Amino acid sequence: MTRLKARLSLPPLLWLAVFYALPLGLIILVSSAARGTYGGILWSLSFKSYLRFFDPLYLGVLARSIAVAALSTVLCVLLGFPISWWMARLGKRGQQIMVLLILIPFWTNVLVRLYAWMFLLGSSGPFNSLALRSGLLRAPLEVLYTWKAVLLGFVYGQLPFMILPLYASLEKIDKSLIEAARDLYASSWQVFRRVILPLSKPGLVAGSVLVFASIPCDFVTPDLMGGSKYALMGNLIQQQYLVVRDWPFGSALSLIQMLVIGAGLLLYLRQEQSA
Amino acid sequence: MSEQFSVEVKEISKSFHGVTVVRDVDFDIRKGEFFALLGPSGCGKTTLLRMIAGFEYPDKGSIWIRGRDVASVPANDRPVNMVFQHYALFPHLSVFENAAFGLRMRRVPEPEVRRRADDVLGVVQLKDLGPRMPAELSGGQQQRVALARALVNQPELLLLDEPMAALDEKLREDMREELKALQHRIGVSFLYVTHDQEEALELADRIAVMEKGRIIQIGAPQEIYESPKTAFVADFVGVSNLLKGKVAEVEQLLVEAASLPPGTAAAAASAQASSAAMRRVWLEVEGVGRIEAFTGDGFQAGEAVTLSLRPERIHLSTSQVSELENRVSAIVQRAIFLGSDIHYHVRLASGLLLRVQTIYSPIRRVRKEGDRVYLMWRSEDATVLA
Repeated sequence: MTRLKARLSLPPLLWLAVFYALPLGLIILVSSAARGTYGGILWSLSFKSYLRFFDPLYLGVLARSIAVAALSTVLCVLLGFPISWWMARLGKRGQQIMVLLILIPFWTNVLVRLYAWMFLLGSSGPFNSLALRSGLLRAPLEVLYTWKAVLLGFVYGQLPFMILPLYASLEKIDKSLIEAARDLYASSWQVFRRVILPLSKPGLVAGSVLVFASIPCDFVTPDLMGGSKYALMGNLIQQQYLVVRDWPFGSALSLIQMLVIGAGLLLYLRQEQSA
Repeated sequence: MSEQFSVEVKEISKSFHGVTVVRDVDFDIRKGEFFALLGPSGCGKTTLLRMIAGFEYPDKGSIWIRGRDVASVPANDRPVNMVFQHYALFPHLSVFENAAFGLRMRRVPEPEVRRRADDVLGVVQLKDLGPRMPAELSGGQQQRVALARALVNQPELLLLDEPMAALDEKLREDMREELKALQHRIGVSFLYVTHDQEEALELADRIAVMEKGRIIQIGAPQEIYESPKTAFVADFVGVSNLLKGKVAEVEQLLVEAASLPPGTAAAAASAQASSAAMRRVWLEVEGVGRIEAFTGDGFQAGEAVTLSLRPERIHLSTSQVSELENRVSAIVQRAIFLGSDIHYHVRLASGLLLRVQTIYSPIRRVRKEGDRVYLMWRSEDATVLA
């Protein structure tokens, strides 16, 4: 039995070794190297790249990334909860259709979807021209290339990752628990606060982790929706690798980001567990 | 409003998508009474219960509790509490917090919450399990938590929706006794919904038998059993031989109810109809022949009727017994030994199959397949149904 278990766990372990541990080791190695004059890697052992990060400019990018990720996560929860709740109460068929509708956008490349948003939000896009023509607005609403558009892009892109786990949790809540709470004098708010919310926690936590962790890594959304004016950690790292060709600094940034997000999530999970 | 009732249900009806599920239902539950709502699945008993709980609202009619018509009052504003079929305990809360839930929702002060939740857990004998989570409990313990969670609120009426359905057979019997003792001790009125006639007979002070959204008969268990109003009730509550026939002759002379042998179907029928007199009739029963029986008023010669004859009321013997008025010969087809009882399937000369139940005694012979026997019963022991 134990031997069978050991054999069965071999493929995933191998997978992790090849596709996770090895690249991570490489990044750690590269982060301690120095940049060659022409963008190559000069192997050495130094913390220069890490020290470089403690520049107000880069610290600001990290702080902004975390703030944007946190704000987007909160918005995704606020939007995703009612949608998931509504989905969970549909009939079997309705639920299947909704899950499909949520997944369909993923069949399209993220660039195409973001360009669609840019078209929609543009100063001569359908929203603005309709509002202008109907007299609702005097001047076009300039949303595109502002931080609002970046936030919109994040929430739009990440909402499914909030809805799906949350819906899975909510769908499992036995309807008679809600009736029992009602029977025991709970108001609608109390039913939500004392029964639905605690029972949806696994989905809420999973969704929040997914959303919060993927936003700082995204460099496409801030580039397109923000017009390259709002650099987050993802943009910084991408520039170091592909534009500046400073791989050691890019690697150091990646590791710092990993540590910060990891520590944040660990704190969050621990607090959720004790609560 | 009278003070003697926990709930008075008046003429309520409910339909879903044009299908009437509960139709003109009318009954009341006395204070401290154990009232069972008995019927097959789909008869509307659960809908009726849910309307009293406040999870459904009746299309018409009223539900009076503590002097107030609550027919359109939401569940969280009614002085009734429910024990759900699968208990619906809050899985994220401890036993204690489950028991305290209703009090917390009503913002009862903390010391009182502690005292009352502790007390009620003591009543259901779970005092030491307060810190446990529901998933760590056995089925019987979960049921007790569900009871405690409802009773802590001191409801006017406790609603129980097939509470034994989730338990296994052996435990069910223990819990039945416990439930009855608990109800006796605390004196709260119980409305107990079940499809299990044995449960209803054992537990209830009164039973309401439901069929197709209507209450067919309300009465004490013995009344329902001895004097079913319809063939459906006779068949659903206990086992009965239902025989088709016709009224051949009605005696003009009335028989004093007091002169009927106590404990017979005829005596129970006259008690149920609260009529002091019964009438002797002769029936022509298909496959059996001429039978003597007692009925209340209202039957006429030539009328088609059903005769309900309980298996344990039939005397089975190889010799004829002269004081039993009705007699028919039969052949044993199957004898089923059940320990305390023996069930016989017997076939009459006409081919009609009857069921007979006798008490087992080692000094009496058990009849075997193929034995020729006489089936005999007193006229007062059968019930004539319209």
